[in-house]
Amino acid sequence: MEVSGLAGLARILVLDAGYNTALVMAGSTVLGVAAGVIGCFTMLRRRSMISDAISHATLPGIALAFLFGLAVFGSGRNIVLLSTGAAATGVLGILAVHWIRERTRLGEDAAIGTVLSGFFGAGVVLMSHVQTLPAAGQAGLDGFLLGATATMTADEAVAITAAALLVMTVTLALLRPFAAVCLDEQHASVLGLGVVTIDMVMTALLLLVVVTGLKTVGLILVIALVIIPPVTARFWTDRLGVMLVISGLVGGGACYAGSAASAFWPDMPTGAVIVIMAATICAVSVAVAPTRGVISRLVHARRFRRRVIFRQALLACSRGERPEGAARRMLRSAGVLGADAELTLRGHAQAEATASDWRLWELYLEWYPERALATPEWGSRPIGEVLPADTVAELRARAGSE
Amino acid sequence: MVGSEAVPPAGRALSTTDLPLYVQGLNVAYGSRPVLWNVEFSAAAGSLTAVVGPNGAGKSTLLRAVIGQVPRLSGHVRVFGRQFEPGDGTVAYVPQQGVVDWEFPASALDVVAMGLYGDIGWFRPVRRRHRTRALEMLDRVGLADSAGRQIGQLSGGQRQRMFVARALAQDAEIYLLDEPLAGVDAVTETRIMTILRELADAGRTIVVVHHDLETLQEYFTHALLLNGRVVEAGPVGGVVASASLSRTYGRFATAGAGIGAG
Amino acid sequence: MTLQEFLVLDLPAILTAVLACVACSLVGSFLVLRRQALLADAVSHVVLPGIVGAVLVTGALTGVAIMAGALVAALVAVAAIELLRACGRLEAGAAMGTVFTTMFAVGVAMLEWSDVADGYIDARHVVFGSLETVLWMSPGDLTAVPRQIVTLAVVLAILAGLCGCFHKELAVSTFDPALAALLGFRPRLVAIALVTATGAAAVAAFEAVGSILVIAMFVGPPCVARMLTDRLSLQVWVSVLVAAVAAIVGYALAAFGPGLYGSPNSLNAAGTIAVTVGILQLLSMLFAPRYGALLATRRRQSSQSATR
Repeated sequence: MEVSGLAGLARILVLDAGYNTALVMAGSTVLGVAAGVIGCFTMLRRRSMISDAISHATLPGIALAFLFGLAVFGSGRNIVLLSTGAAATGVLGILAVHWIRERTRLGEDAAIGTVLSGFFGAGVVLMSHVQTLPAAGQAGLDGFLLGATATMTADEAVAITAAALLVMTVTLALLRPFAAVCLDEQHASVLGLGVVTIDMVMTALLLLVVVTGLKTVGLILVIALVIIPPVTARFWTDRLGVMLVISGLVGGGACYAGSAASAFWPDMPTGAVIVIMAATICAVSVAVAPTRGVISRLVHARRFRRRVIFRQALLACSRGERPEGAARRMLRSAGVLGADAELTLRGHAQAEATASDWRLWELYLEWYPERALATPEWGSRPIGEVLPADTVAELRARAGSE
Repeated sequence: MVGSEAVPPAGRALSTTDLPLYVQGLNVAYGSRPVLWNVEFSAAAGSLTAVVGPNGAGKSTLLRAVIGQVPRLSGHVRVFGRQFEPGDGTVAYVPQQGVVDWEFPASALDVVAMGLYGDIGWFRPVRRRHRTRALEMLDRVGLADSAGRQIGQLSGGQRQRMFVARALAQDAEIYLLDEPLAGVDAVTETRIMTILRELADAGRTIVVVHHDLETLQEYFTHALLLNGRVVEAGPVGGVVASASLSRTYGRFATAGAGIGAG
Repeated sequence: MTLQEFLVLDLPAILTAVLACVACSLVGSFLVLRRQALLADAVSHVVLPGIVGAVLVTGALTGVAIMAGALVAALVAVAAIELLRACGRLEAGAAMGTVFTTMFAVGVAMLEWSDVADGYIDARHVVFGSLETVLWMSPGDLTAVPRQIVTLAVVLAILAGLCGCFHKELAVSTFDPALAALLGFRPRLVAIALVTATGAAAVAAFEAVGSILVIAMFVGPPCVARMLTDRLSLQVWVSVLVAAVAAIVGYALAAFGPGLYGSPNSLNAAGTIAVTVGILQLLSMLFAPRYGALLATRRRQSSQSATR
């Protein structure tokens, strides 16, 4: 179907640009959501880069499956066959990384680096052999590198959509055990959840996402699907549930927009477009997200530093000392110190209040040192703003009895 | 003393600011969680100071902030009255065992020789005389036999002694050691403490993160009780006798023996 | 095969492969020791937008522009990774994965949208490399030595010189950055220099072997050396030697291997080199005298009992 102009783009976006395009877009959107969700768990388990080893390790599998198909069925272009091959060597890659990490002195980084390049090298060799063959269907293999949804056949689109739905369903069904393992491994094993088994299922789903995403995003960039959306979500929230939703939305949105763009400009590698979409959302989040974003962090760090210095300057005043330099300037502009470098009336009250507040903080540190030291912003704010009222009341009582 | 640029009152200026180590108004935070709150302490030449306190009290952070390994919110570190500059050879630091890669392709001798790199300077290679000197230091900690062994093959006590030998090779004025006695055997413990005492007797300044309150009085001349802020600092006898220990480790915990920070 | 063929086709390709592998493995030893092998992965990917960007900005395809573009891209990538880690408290892998996939995608998109670099780089070459296109058209004429070989030789000479001069500084800042800082060796500066060196080696080798196989050269030979030695200088030498051997054996397999089963075609040489490196690594991981896995279990047990 011919698509061009704004009208064409609009038709693509509402899934009205032909059966194939609609199916591909629906399929990749589901895939993006699943990848975003699985990616959160992978990131929390600190295994993000395993997916890089997996995706590169699929190349020899694709080539071997193609050669196998050619020899047995006379044609190698069958998405199910190729994906099976990809998954097979992907599993080998995972096992290899695991073996190197556990059984040799090499670190995980070196394990991933060597597995991905070694397997990919084997894949490249096989591919260079495949390309010398006069077989017709080989054109489809190029799409595995950088992704090409535009040239997908209807069968391929159906297969990918089905696989994406499967991954999505399994992931949603297993949300609870996954969350348990990510949040508190020890607690999970106490509950009788086999951490090793759950890790294996998680890795298997990761493998499925990668293999399913090969044709859409391409094996070099498919890892972005499981890494960028969770990273984006991480900047917005600390809570796993919210993170899963944001990550799924980012992944799904990027894939939807990316495959639409690819349908509109058939020459563009789909993978690159999808990744740029996701990365744009990520970059904006990194900049402006509240609390964790760069801007917010810079502002907070500055405010926090000034607050600490200001409070300590007030405490010094309450002890009868007179701070110099930046601290004195701060006190002056806050009206604590007058032009004569003596405490103003307001400054006197403020210093006294801070001193009695600090006394409570000191008691908290003395009675519950480990809890106190782990409290964010201890000492740097009035105690009632940080600790629950009953704790503050208890400390007040202790202060009174001394 | 308070405020980032505060100057001590005139009466104390001569006595504290020219000391080997003088930390003033030091604030350190990880994100928005304070770790060190307005820390002020000094160490005199010939003193052996133990830094003690519960988990998370900022003991290691204090040492790392002194050498500029963690950023400070505010505060000063003065070494012999001057602003501390890395590379001036006055401070030696022994890290916790856990922080280095024990698979690193280096022998015990190589690691000790690293302590001499500062003397050798940029570009120049390690020469025979440097290796001889490194070997002397290994001999001093009783590790001359293991000089050629890959560091991963050393036992926990040997690793700690190797680091002490490296600090000796630095021939510094001030020695900062982060839990040098953690998980070592009795022989190593005695050996390390003997060496530290010799250094102190020779007029060097030693600051050690320590976790065993039982040996506190036996090993050290001074103690710094740390609990986010300085609870008390001074000669070890007075500090142990006061009620400050329980104010450092938590008043629910019984003061005295057995309160290890681990 | 005639001598003429060898001089025109095979010699320059072998030289390129050897120089590329040696340059990468030299830097790679330090990356592997710092547990930053994946930095090689990241840098080798971001070299692409660096090159395309440089070509777009300068409008010309010169060696200097390419090198500058790639180095800038490598430093930008590392800065972005550090920013993500610092602000998002992310593990290194997630931060790297975010940055390098993004930059690689931008590179691919720039390649597609502009035709400035047409005919010189396309996505296939970027990924697979083009060792076969390095030709010495008039053998014996030193002025006609292929540009890639000259670039690689210069880069290798500089890197080797730096590694020689700064051996000590690299060693101490890798093993114990705190000590390095205390001694005044500026470990952050050393780290930035190492990233720059990684970028330089990657871009020089990238033209010949492609972005992904560069990783094999960075990580594989140093890993073999890790299994075999416990001396830093030996580590570097063994790794360089393994790289050179892998380059020659790999090229021979690609060029002459298919002849063994009667095929007139050749295989992708970058791929066979990576496979050779992989096989050497597998052998070393299994059979290394002290650390090989076949002996390691017993070794580890005895060393653990020694440390306790």
